[in-house]
Formats: sequence, structure tokens, C-alpha cells
Amino acid sequence: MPPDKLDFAEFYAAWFRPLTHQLFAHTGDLAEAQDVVQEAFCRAWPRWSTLDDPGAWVRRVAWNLATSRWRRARRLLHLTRGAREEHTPGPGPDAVALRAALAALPARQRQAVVLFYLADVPIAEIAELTGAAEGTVKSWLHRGRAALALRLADDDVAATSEVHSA
Amino acid sequence: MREEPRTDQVRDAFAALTGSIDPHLRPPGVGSVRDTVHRRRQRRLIGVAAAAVAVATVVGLAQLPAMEQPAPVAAERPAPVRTSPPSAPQPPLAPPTRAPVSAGNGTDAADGPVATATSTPARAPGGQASVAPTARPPACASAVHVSRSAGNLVIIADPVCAGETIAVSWVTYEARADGSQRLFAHERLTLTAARHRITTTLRESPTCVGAWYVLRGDPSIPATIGAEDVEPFPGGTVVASQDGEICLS
Repeated sequence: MPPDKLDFAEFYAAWFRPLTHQLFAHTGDLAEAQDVVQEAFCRAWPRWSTLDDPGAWVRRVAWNLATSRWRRARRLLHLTRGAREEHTPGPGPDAVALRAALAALPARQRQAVVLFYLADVPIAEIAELTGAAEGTVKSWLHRGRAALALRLADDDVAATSEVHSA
Repeated sequence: MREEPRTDQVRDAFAALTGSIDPHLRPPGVGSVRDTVHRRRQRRLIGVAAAAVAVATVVGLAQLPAMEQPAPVAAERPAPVRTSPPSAPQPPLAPPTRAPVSAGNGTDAADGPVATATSTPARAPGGQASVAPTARPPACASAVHVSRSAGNLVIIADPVCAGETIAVSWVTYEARADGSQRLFAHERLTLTAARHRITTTLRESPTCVGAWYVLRGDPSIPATIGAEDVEPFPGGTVVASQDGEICLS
């Protein structure tokens, strides 16, 4: 039986936040993350009765939109550099450190890490989403986790040093 | 099998990250989704209607010069073929023997046969076929409308001109990582006065939904649409369309 509009509301309530978390972790821009997630839901609405796995579908579309926008933004970067207002909230030091660490990762590696840690997406599905082999995804996760842990540990040390020297 | 992190530090950091943005997160809500979809649908319908009006206008204007030709007066009417045998032998291309009547004088029916739409006009003395004296029928321009509900596509031709057959096709594409799109499925349909409404189902890629189009006529359907190709079909053939998205895989 196709799901009705009430199901869509429940689906929206259950998926909007986690998807926005993932996209924010990936893009570092909360407004952008909310935009692409909302757009993905808008595209799901007309197809709602035909979607077998709406969660996976919306996640895929949101990520695709984010990637597409990122490509466009990269092309226009020289025009908009420094002109964009940052609307991201003021996160705590851990969040700042993580965002900095994530930003240092290559895009697809970052995507794999975010999907794995924030969305609990299985490795096989990450491989399918990114078009990479499962072994490659495992390698990305291993290197990404190591890089994040190192970066986070460095920041802890730096923070401690600052406290000691203050 | 899931990879187990050596430390919870990364997971803790992710939890802190999401916790830090949650207070600032304001989901626009399902109402906003519904409004956006409704607005886009309205915009698309208005676009389609405007295109139909434009086509009808162009067709109407194209036929205007022919319609503006002055109606032939009775004096210019070609001589009808006589249905009664002539009293004397006449040359085959003889000029009319009756005196011409003035325009508007249509009371001469009793004087002899009158040319009608079905009558065969006599040849003019110069041997050229004469102009049919009947008025042209009003121009007819058929229009095709498309609406989409979930996966179903409703294609309606209204009006359908008498005897006209309208070819329409729907085409779906699968998006690819490089921004190009590959032909996924298509179907050709025919609309007539007897079958002016068709409901069909769009077959879309289960993995990477690309753009879909409804086309009128039989334009060639490219197997691949390049990332930079914004007009893959000839002008005037696209009745409705929706963009897809770029896929990663």
C-alpha cells in the first residue's frame, strides 16, 4: 500500500535533522545543508508513492545536490570569495576542531566518514553512493578516522598548552 | 561488517558537532515542502499554457494573410459547370454567357446553377483553375497539456483538430556523475480526437533520477545529453519537463 501524506510528515520529522547533520558536517554551512535537504524532500513529495526506500532516496538526492552546488560554487569561487556571509552558528571547541579536521579531508573521504559516523550507513551502501569499491571505502574510513583522531588529539594538546601558558 | 573505531573520540566529536547545531536548526516543515511543490507545479502549468498560447498565436498569425484575402465577389465567381445541356454547341473553354451579377445579389438561383463548395468550377478562359469561392474554415490549433501526479503522467490534447493525429513522447534520463545524462526510457504515444487523454507511468532510474521531458511531434531523442546542453530538443517540441540532479555514482 502506498504511504499517505501523514507518512510523509512522519518521514520528514524523522529524517530532516539527521540528514541536515550529515550535510552540515560535509559542507560546513548550516544554511546550505538545510537548503539541500529541504530541496530533496521537495523532490520526493511528487514521487512519494513510488519510492521503495524514501530515506535512502532523499539522502542520495541531498548529497547529490550538495555535490552539484559545491561544483558550481567552486567554479564561481573567484567571484564570490570573501563576499559570502557566514550564517553558521557558533559551535563549541570540539565542533570547531572536528569541522576543521573534516575540512582537511578529501571530499569523498569526508563523505564516507560522515555517512559512516553520522548516518550509520553500511560500507556497502557508501560504496554504492560514492561509486567506489568497498575496499576503497574501508581505506577511506581507516585513513579518515586516523586523521580526525590525530587532529582532534592535536587540538586537545594545543588547548591544554594554552591553558598552561595562560 | 562494520568497522569499529579504536576510540570514541571521533564519535564524541560528531555528537558534539550535531549537538552544537541542533539549537539553530529550524526545519521549514512539510507545509513548506507542499507549498514549494505546488508553486512549481503552478509555474510549470503556466509555462505550458503560455507556450500553447504562443503556438496558437503564431499559427493564427501565419494563417492571417490567407484569411484576410477579400472574399470573391459574384462577378469574379467562376462560371459554374452547366448542368443543363447547352442550347447550342459551345467551345469547351467558353466564357460565361450570363451577365455578371453584383456582389450580394444571391437571388439568381433560379436563373441557373450556382457554384457551391462541392461544385466543380469551370476553367477560366486563360485555362487557369479559379479560386474556390467558399470562405476558409477557422484556423484550428491543437494544444497538449501535461500534468504529473506521483509517477503518473496525464497527457491531454485539447482541442484536437478534426482528423488530426498528435504524436507525443515521454523521455526519462539517468543522471551521471559528470553532469551528463543518459537516456533511460521513452515511450511514443498518439493522441486523437477519440483518444485525447492518456495516463501513463514515467519509468525513472531507481538510482540516479535525471530530467524528464514530454515532447510533441517526433524530434530525435539523444542517447546522451551533455552537462552543458541546456536545450537538447528543438524549440517548440518540449511540452513539459523537469530537471534532474547530478549523481555521484
